Amino acid sequence: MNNNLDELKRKYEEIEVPQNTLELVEKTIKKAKKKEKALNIFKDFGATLVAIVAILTILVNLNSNIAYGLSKLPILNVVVEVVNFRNYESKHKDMEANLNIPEISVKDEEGKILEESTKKINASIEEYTNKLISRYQEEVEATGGEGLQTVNLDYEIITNNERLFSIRFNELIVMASGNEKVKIFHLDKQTGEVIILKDLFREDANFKKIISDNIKEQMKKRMEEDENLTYWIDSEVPEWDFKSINDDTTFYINEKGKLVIVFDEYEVAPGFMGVQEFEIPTEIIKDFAKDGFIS
Amino acid sequence: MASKKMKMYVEEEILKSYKSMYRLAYTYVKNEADALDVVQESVYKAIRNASKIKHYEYIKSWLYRIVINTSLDILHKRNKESLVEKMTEEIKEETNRDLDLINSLQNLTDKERLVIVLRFFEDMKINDIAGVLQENPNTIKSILYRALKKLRVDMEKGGYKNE
Repeated sequence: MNNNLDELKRKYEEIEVPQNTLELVEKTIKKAKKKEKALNIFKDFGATLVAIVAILTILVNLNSNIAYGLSKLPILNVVVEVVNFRNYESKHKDMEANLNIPEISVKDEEGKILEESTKKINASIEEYTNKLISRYQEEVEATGGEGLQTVNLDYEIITNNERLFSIRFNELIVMASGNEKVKIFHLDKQTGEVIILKDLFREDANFKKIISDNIKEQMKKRMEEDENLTYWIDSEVPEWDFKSINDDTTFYINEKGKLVIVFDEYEVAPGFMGVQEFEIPTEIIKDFAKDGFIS
Repeated sequence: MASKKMKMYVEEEILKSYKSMYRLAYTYVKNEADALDVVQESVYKAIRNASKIKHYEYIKSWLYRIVINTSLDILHKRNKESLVEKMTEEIKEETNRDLDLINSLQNLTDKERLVIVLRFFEDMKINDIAGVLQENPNTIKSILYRALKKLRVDMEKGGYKNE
C-alpha cells in the first residue's frame, strides 16, 4: 500500500506546472490588491449610493401603482416584436463589456404602434441595462481600467402567445468568479402593461406562501435524491436560508403553460449550483391565478 | 492592522504553494487552461478574503479549500452537465499518464481527496488537518482510512501496479 501511495505522490508531483504560472499568480495578487483600494474609495461614497438606491425604489414603486391603475383598460390582440437592437461594447485591458439591448415595438391589429405600451416596456428594459452599463463604467473608473471584469448580456424571447410576451435577459458578470443572473420582462398583451409575478394572481391571493412552500418541498426532494445538491434551507446559517418569494420574483411561463420561478446564482444555493428554476404545479395556484397566463 | 499582516502571510503562502494549488486544481479540471484559471481565481479570492482568517496555521489548508471550491465552480460552469457525470466519466483511453492518478482520486469525495492531498502529498499532520476542517482528529483518521481503502481497491483492479 505504501509503495502505491509513494507512486501516487510521485505522480502528483509529476503534474507539470506551466512556466508562466508564477508570473500569473503575481499579477493576480497585484490586481486583487488594487481592487481592494478601489473598493475603499467606494466605501466613502456609500451614503450617496444608498440615497440614490432609495429614490430609484420609490420611483419603481410609484410606477407599479400607476401600472396597476391602468391595467383595467383592455387592449386586445396586440402584436409584440423586437424591431431593432443596439450593442454596447467596451474594452479596457482585462475589462470587457458586451451588451445586446433590444428595442421592442407593440402594435395593434392594424399595425399601428401603441406608443404608450412601447415606451413602457422599452423604458423598463433601458433602466435595467443602463444600470448594468453604469455599474461597469464605475468599475472601470475605480480601477483605472486595470480591473478584472467581463459583463455579458444576451436576450431571448421565451414566450409570445395571445396573452403574454416575455423576454429573458441572461446576465453574466465575471469578476474574480462568475455571477449569473437572469432578468425577465413580461408584457400583458391584453392590457399592454409590463407585469410582474404578483400581476398573475388575484389581488387577495396568498400566492407567495403557497408557492414558497412548494419550492421548499422541491428543494428538499432534490437534495434527498442527489447528495451533491445543496440548497439554503434549514442550513447552519439561518439568515441565508430561502424564506419566501416576493411580488417581483423572476418567473416565466414554460412551453407547457406552467409557471416557473427562477433564482439567480447564489440566491438560494451555493455558487456552483448556478441559476435555479422551479416549475410550480398548476393545481396549487389555479384557484387564484388570473385567466390566460397559466394552463 | 492584524488583517494587513494576515494578507502578507497569505501572499507568502500563495507564492510558496502555488504549484500545489495548480496540481490540486488539475486533479479536478484535468486540463492546463482551466487549472490556470482556477489558480488565478483562487489567488484573487484568497487575497480579497485574507482578513477573514483567524489563525495563521490555517492559511495553507484554507487555500486548498478555496482551490477545491473554485474547481467545482468552474467544472459546473464549463459543462452544464452534472458534477456526478463529470466525476464518473471514463477517461481511461487517454494516454496521458497523469490521468491514472486523476482516475484514482476521482472516486473519492471532496473531503476524502482533500485529506489525502493534505496528509500525503503536502505532508500535513492529522491534528492540523483536523483543526482546519473543524473535525475531531479521529474523524479525520476514519476519513483517511476510508479513502485509502477506496484507493487500494481502485489501484488493484485498475491495473495501476503494471506501470
